[in-house]
Order: sequence, then C-alpha cells, then structure tokens
Amino acid sequence: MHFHDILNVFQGITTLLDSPWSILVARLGLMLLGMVLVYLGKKGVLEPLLMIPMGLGMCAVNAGVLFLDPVTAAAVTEGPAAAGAAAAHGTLMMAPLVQKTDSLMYILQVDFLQPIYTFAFSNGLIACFVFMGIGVLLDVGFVLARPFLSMFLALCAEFGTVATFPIAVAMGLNYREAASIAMVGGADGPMVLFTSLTLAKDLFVPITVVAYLYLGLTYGGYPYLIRFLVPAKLRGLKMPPKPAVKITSDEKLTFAVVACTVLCLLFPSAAPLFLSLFVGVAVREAGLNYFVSFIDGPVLYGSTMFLGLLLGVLCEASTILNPKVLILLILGIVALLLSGIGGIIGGYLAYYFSGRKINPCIGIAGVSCVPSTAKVAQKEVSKVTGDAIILPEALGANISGVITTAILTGIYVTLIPLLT
Amino acid sequence: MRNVRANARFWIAGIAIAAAGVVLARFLAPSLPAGHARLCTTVSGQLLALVGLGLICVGVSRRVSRAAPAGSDRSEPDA
Repeated sequence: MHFHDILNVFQGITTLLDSPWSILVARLGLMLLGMVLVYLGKKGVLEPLLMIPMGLGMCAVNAGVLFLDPVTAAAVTEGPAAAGAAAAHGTLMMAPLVQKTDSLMYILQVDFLQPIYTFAFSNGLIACFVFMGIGVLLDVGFVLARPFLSMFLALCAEFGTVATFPIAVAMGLNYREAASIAMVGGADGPMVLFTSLTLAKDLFVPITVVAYLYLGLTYGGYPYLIRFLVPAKLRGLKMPPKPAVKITSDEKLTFAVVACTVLCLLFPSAAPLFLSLFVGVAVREAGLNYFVSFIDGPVLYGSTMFLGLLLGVLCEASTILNPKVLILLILGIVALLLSGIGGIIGGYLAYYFSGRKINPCIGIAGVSCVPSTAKVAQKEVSKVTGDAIILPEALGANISGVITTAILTGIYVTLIPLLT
Repeated sequence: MRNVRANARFWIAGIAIAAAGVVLARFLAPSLPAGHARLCTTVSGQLLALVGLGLICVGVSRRVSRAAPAGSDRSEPDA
C-alpha cells in the first residue's frame, strides 16, 4: 500500500490539501463558523431551531468533500467526463446547479438531499410550508382591532426594505439582486427565500443565508437599538387600557378570504405565499383543529429543520467565495437596521399623534419577525415598568408587518421584471 | 356571520374598492402602452386595492369600538 492510497482513504483531508488556498481557507472557516452557529444556537443567542441544523450542515458539507467518480462529476458539472483530467471535488449531499433532466435524474439517485432540494426547496415549497405555519400562529384579530396603528407601524418598519433597494443598486447590484437583498429588511426568512428564488436564482444561497443569519441576530440586537433610540422614561410608558371586545372568527375568516383573493388577483407572482399564509389563518379561524395541529407541528417544524439543514449544506466554500457576498453582508445588516430605525420612528410619530399615549417601543414590532420583535418590545418595556403591557398592540403591528412584507414581496416580484 | 352582516356597509364598500383597484392594476394597466402611465396605473390600482382592505379593517375596528362594554379593561381578539 502506498502513501497515496492512505490519503485516498481520508478524502476529506486530501481534497482539502488538494484545493487552492482560497478554497482551503474558506472550507476551514465555514466549518468553524458552523460550529460557532451550533454553539450560539444551543446557548440561545441565535434561533436554535434553524441554527443547529444549519451549523451542522455547514460543517458536514465543507468537511465531506471527496473525489467524484467521472460519471458523477460529469453529471454535476453537466459536461462530458474529461479523460485524464484531475478528479473533480464534490459531495454526496446536493448539486444545486444541475439543470439538465438526465443529469438531475442521475444526481437524484446519488445525492441524499437532492430530492428535498429539487422537489421542495428550489420551487419555494418549503418557504410556503413555513409561511403556512406562520399563518396558523397568526391572529389577524390583533390587526382588525387596531388597523390604523398596526398598518402605520408596519409601513414605517418597511423603511429598510424600500431604502436598501436604491443603496444596493448604487453598490453595483442589478435590480433583481437589489430587490432580493432589500427584502431582508422585512425580517421574514420565507419571503427572502421566495423573492431571491424568483428574482435572483444565482445569488439565492448567499442572500438567504445572510438573511437567516441576521434574522437570528434581531432577537439579540434590537433590544440595544431600542435602548439607544428610546429613553428609559418613554420605554416605561403605560398605555391607556382599552375595552374588552371580541373580533369573531367569522370576521377573521371572511377577512382572510377577501384579503387572499384580492392580493392574489393583484400579485399573481406571489400568490403561493399569500395562499399559504391565509390558508393557515383560515384553518385556524375555521376551527379545523386536526389541520391546525398538523400544520403548526409536523409541517412547520419539519420545514424549519430541513430549511436550516439545506441552507447549511448550500454553504459550500465555492458559493461563499462569490465577491458579491461581502456586499450582501453589508446590505443585509443595513436593511435590518433601517427597518428597526423606521419602526421606532413610526413609534415616535404614533406617540406624538396619539397625545403621548402610545409607547414608542411598539414601533420595533412592525418589523415582521413574528413573534420575536413583539416579544423584544414587551421585554424592554417590562424591564423599565414591570406591569406595563404593550403586547396586544405590538402583536397587531407584528402581524400587520407580515402582511405588509408579503405585499412588498408581491410588489417587487411583479414590478422589478417590468423595470428590467 | 352576524357581525359581518351587521357591518355590511364597510365590507361591501371595502370589497368594491379593492375590486376597483384590481381592475385598474390588472385589466386597465396592461392595456396601456409601456411607460409611466402604465406604471402609475398599476401602482394606483395596487394602492386602491389595499385601501379597500384597510377600509374593511376600519369597519371591524368601528364595530368593535361600538360594541365595547363600559368599564372593561382591555381589547383582546379571540385566542
């Protein structure tokens, strides 16, 4: 047995040494980053439901690289197997760039995650499943009870989604890529995934990964933004009590049906998202408890787990070495920051226009990361005044934010192709 | 559906306005020549449709305010 044969036994290491130095560094860095994500997920700093499968996926895909046999290499690269050429590196997990039917059929039988990627991820199904789960968790009654306040705050909190678009164009991205990264300002993962899959398929991996990484940070970062922009005296403001009333499930169901129909008529390109969201709302309000427990259990959590895992596996070194990733990293944080600032400005405007009765902290809940931002707002208020309750108003803004972000997705997906 | 029927004015007006917006954005705008007029009609139609949905919300909110019993302490939708 030669030394060369021993190296072939440990192909993960051999391919690492055989790679150009940039790939070597990126693979090691991504393995390390994957471990950090798992650690931060376990600690609760980042969202564990996503970060633990995603981190592990990143470690595995960058460690498990091997020399592909010529037939598989030809299917992955969609070119003829070059005799005598250096063996191509690859994994047995997924080949996201394969397009030709023959190659795809071959890869579906080789790569273990390829069926999930092809049949559930690349067509946006997994984003729609997550959105269906969000729909089941939403109570649109919070929006119907306070429509002006909820919609106003949600609109202000879309500042990042709108303002990042021209910034991204100025930084050299085309309209489609700019709209996709601007959607990070909506702080809604499925929407970013859907927009980037529809508008910028070449960049959807880095955009979605950047989005989910930053969405994990909203829970940790937005409290500091609130403390920085809202003085303690205003943070502790108690809002006047409101009379107890009930929005009936009939009204909520009728609203869901009307809103879904109108929005699908307006934005057919985003109709899968609207249908998924409102079918969740309708199932909940119609009291179909078996469906509710199916959607908010296996569908939502199963989709979240495979979404995290597939995003992690998509973080291969070659994908992340795209020079546009640095721009995306900057724009992602800019979008979220601007949305947070816009939300708090909205909160201040509501505070002044209401005769100083509304706590400005609820503005941050307009950012549609359900229910994280509403919980963040309530937590920050409770820290100053223990018995101040702002959660119903914050949830109204939060749920309105989801609908507003879905509408903005529809606007971008519909209008951007017209502009280009 | 009693509450929807009792508040029918807002529901009908909201749906009618939203439908008018849809007609503007999806039927009228595509028939215009490409350019600013088409874009403006599309955006106006979209906004009008959203105003229609907003009007329905306002109607429900008004129904809720009217129905609120005196002396209760908070507004809570169904759990």
